[in-house]
Amino acid sequence: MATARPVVSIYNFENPSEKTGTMPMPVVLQSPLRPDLVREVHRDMAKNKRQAYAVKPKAGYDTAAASWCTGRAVARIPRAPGGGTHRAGQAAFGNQARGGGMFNPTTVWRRWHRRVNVTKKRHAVACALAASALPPLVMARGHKINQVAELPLVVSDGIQSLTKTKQAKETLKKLGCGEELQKVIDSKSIRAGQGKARNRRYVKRLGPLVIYNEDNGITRAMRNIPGVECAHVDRLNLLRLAPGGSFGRFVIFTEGAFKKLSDIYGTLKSGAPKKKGYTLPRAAMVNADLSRIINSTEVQSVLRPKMERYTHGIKRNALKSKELMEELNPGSTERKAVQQKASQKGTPEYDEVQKKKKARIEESKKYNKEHKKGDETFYKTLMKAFEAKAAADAAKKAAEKAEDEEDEE
Amino acid sequence: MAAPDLLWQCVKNQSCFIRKQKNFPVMTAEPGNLCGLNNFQFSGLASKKVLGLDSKKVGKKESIVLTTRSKRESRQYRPGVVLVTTGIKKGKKQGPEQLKKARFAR
Repeated sequence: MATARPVVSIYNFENPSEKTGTMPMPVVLQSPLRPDLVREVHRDMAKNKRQAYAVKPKAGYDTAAASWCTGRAVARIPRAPGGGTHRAGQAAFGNQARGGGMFNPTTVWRRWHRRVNVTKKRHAVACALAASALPPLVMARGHKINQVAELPLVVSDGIQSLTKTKQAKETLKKLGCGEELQKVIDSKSIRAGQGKARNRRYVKRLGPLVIYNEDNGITRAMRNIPGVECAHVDRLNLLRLAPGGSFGRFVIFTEGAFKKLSDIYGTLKSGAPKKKGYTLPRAAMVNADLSRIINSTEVQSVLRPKMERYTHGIKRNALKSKELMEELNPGSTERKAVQQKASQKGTPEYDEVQKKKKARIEESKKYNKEHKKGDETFYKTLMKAFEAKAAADAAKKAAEKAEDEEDEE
Repeated sequence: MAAPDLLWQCVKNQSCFIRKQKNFPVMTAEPGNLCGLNNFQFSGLASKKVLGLDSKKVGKKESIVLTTRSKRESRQYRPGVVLVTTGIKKGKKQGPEQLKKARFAR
């Protein structure tokens, strides 16, 4: 939503390359974009022109059929009475029976129409008008507007007095609608489906919608041009502004009509003069440009500094990478170097190691000599104790044996 | 001109340029879309920073055309003039240099 209202040029209908004036854009054309609202309202409004269809109330039940009940070796479905004709005894009434009624017969009292809140309808129209002023949306809807000078396209009032279709076509072409009109002509094709047999044989795309204020011949001039539709400003129809529920119709305004938009819809402050109790919709978010908001000084100045994200990079294996090992275990490279050197004969490290080794061996020998030789070794003391006990036991046994021998004798 | 984010929400599912295929990312045929992908970054409709690269054949001559969006406020409402096309030189050095410039300008 622009802070200052952009100014729209009015093009001369006789010579569209020149401009006859300018006008500030009416506030309606800056309404918030609500595709959801437009879709919803269109969906309901489109139901209002439907004609009822239904099967006849008596369809399938216009027989005096009755079930034959059990005992006659036939299914229990109602059967047509009488005789003398094929129809007699045939099944009737059920949806499964030939000539029977349908399941859940369509009725004329189906709720065909929907009522839509007036404010909702008005909001949807405002929204659709706003969308028609934005080139991306009009392009996205499929209109060929590359040759069009400006959007919204406003033409001087002279166009309302055109009476000849040929002139109207010329004017539109000069305004840049040639591609669009050609698109419509090229798109005419036979409808797919049964509609082709029901007086709806052809389908074609929609072209520009010309919105006028005073009909001095323009409707009749434009009506035979394929794709072109006309509408009076006072009576804008959402079904025309957003065909199929998609907003962004290519709209051509006449000067008078464009001016009248401000008179009809007014501004947010004043309300709509011609629509009692109605004010144009307000945007939920006046400035919807998120990137601008995020990058603005007001926001950036209050943010804490950006957190440094710890990126792991590629995982390195300390056992393979010497640098990483040194980082994790400082001194490990030095130690490794020393160890390496220690295995090379002649280096002081080697001598150091050998010295230590020698000392160790000496110590060990000394210790062994003290503790592992002689009579005070663990084993010997153990055996001594054992032998003592063994001898004591043996003596005991011998004594017992001697007693036994004595007893026997 | 409406905010790019808002326009994107309107256009991302509902545009005559969208082309869909099974098992394929959603693509768009709009002018000014570099990759043809239907996302906000590359959108030629919604985004303010538009970059498109096409080849144009005029008779026998085939030229490389770069499309960018005009920055002027006055041009935003003029569909014929909002997208600016420049030719890209086919030289080995000059072409990529021009593209680099355009990319950073974007």
